[in-house]
Amino acid sequence: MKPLFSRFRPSYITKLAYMLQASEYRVLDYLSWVERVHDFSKIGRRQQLIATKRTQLLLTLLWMITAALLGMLLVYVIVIFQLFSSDLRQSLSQSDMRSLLSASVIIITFYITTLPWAIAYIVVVPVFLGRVLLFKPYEWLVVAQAKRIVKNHPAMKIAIAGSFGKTTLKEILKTVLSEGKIVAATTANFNTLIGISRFVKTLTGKEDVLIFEFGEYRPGDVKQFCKLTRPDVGIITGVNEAHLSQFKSVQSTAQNIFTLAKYVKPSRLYINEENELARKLKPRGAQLYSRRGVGGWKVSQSVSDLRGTRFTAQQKSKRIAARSKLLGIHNIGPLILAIDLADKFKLGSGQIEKGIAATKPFEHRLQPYSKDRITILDDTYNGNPAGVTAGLEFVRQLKAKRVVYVTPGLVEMGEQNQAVHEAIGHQLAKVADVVMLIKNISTPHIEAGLKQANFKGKLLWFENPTECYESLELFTKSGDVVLLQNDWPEHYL
Amino acid sequence: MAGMKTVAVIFGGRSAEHDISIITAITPIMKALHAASGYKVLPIYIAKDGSWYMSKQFQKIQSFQRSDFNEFLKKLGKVRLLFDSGLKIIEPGIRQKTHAVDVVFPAMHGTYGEDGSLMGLLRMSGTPFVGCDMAASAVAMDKVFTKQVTEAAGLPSVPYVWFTASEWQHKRADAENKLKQLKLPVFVKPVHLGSSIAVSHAKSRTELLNAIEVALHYDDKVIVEKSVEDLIEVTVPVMGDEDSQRVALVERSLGGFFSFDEKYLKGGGKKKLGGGKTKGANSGYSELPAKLPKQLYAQIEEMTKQTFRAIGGSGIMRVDFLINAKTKKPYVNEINTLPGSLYHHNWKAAGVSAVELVTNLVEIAEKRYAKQKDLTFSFKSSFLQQF
Repeated sequence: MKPLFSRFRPSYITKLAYMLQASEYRVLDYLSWVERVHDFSKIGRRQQLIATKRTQLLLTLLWMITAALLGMLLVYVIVIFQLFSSDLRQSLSQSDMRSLLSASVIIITFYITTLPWAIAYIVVVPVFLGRVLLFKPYEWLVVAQAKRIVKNHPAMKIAIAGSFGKTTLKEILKTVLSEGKIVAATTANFNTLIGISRFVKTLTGKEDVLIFEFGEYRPGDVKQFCKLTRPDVGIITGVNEAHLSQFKSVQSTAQNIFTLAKYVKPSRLYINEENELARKLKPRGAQLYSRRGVGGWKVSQSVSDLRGTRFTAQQKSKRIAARSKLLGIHNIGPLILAIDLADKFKLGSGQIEKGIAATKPFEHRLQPYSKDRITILDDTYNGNPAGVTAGLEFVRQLKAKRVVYVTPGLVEMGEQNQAVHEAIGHQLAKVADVVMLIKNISTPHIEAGLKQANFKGKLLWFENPTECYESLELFTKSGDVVLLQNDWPEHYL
Repeated sequence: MAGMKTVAVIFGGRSAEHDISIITAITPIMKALHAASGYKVLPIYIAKDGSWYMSKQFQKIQSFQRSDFNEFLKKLGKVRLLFDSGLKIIEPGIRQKTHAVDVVFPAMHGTYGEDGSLMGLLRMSGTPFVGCDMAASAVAMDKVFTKQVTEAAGLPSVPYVWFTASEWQHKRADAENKLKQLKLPVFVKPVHLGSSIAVSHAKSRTELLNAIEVALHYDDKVIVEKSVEDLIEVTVPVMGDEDSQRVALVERSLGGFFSFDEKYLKGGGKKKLGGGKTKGANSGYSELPAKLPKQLYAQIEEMTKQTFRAIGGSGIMRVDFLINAKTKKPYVNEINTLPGSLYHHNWKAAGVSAVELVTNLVEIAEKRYAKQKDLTFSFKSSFLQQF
């Protein structure tokens, strides 16, 4: 009964507004979420509605819809009441009166019980109309303005596309190139078309380098990004099953991402050699980067541990002693790419080394903490299979007393969901001693993968992330390495 | 639930350490038992008036912070207990559900719990229980007995005297003569209390007299100990039984002595995941492990095990030592048979998780019970025929 009554509390309205905001006002995502939720009292436990002008408008709209629907009910009740107390009653027989009364009760009961659903669905109409009639024209205007600014901006423009690793690469490039150039890069919330356009409007015109991270969500959006940003250099970090629910197939994802190749010269296109699919789709003349090197740069003496990642990069007579606080050998590819680009931008060896030394783990991306002699690697923003593999690869070579792995699994894997998570189970079986899984539609496949790989360690199940993280405190001990991966945004729970 | 062991966690009680007992019971005991799975946990709370209650809500600290707590207890109703052939808890109400307890996990600090009273009751009921048995608990609860037993086992203590409230009131001269054996400064302590409650450091006669009055406010027996110069105070948790013992890490106080404030009220500076600070018992005010010379560290570890065996320990214990930094001589100070929060932060640092800690303790309890079941407590005689 509690889940049912959760739709009849005043907080239900705020939760609908929160769900719309968290879905970024994408109607289909919102409706899909509404259909999945049984108990609205569990919504908003991890994050709250962020107060903006838009959400205030939305809340007003939701309350107006609620008031209108209740008003209609009140009118109906009044009409029925008037009917029963009027002279018309005399003209009706007893059985007619009983039928009318029963019908009224049924209608009113049905109306009240479906009221919350009605509110949740009716609000979609003004939201959709708002997007089409207000937001889209506004977006077109902002994008058009941004295009003019970018066209006239003298800076070198670098575009980054891919299924994974974009943010890490963007931050590495920004940190390293900033040692000798004025660099501006899109931030976390600015990787949509409107977001990039707003970012462009903040530019001063004095920047030497602009770095754009493309957040691909829909087929065709990379084309839109390229038309806006007019990239001089393109980087493709890789293609995998991330966001498969939007693209339906990996091939479709690859097609979207490799649109970038049509907008830059091949010699200025860099592709991650360590990703098989991206490597196979490399256009002629494009460059491959990996932990072995890029262009004329060769990597040697590479080491990665909890202190960071170190290697030597050499190109003819040039030699760079790279010392980064980033964790994991998988970061050497992006780091050597940064070295190559910095060299092309005429930064000196000293500047490049200083820039590399300034790179450090980003929030929630293989970010290390230490507590009670336990090493915790917070990789909760990592949401793709390549990231899982990279994290496990790093942990395996640490030679910890015990490896504890915590995950709710990955989101948006579409039809590949089972295969991806079973593969994760196979990998975990070789690395983890304790696996803590949060119950949802994906994690049973991880369990299946563990069983298939004859996992000998301990498997623990939890109903929700809160219960899991509280129990983590009780299960861990000195010498453990804990890897936390893939925290789900609330609308996937 | 098939295969589940029913563990009754008994806490609270008529004791000055009532509130600390609630924390110990919730974290780590009940939480860790839940996390361990395989256990059905019965939270049994003994109110300050001695009434017994049971509710699943006792597993959350918020239940004890509510302003209408007493009304909440009234609504719950008291449980009844059966002590023959094991312990059974009977819930109040129309249906009166009965729970048979497989193991008891005592979490009552201080009087009626840690002092062995509860253990005696559980022995009579024939129920396995975690922790030291009645005799060891009674010895450890009395600081004077502790010193007398450990000294008999060859373990050193600082010079001390003791007297009762009655002696202080009615035979003052005798008590004063005892005090003259010790030079100031001294520590004054109630003999039967833990958590450093009413413990005072007296550097002058005025302070000494005040300290004795404070201590006698809480207890009817007082111990006065010579204060160790250049003091290093360490504490060591130990777990096991008569056959084997495992020590955790030697932990050193960084402030003054381990006062109640330092133990339970000061938050400490350790960073949580995400950057927040930890709160709660026994964290952030000590050096863990203690930076002592290797030989001294090993000596402390061995003395801990010897102390454990000397009082007949079982389950878990914490042994406090005083060390003279100049002479490097350690003295056994006190024993605590129910360390606050089981000192799980220390065990964790030593490589034992909270879940492993509680499950090991339950196993030790069951092993002891199985051994004791083989003992015979009655025999036939013709004694009555004489009458």
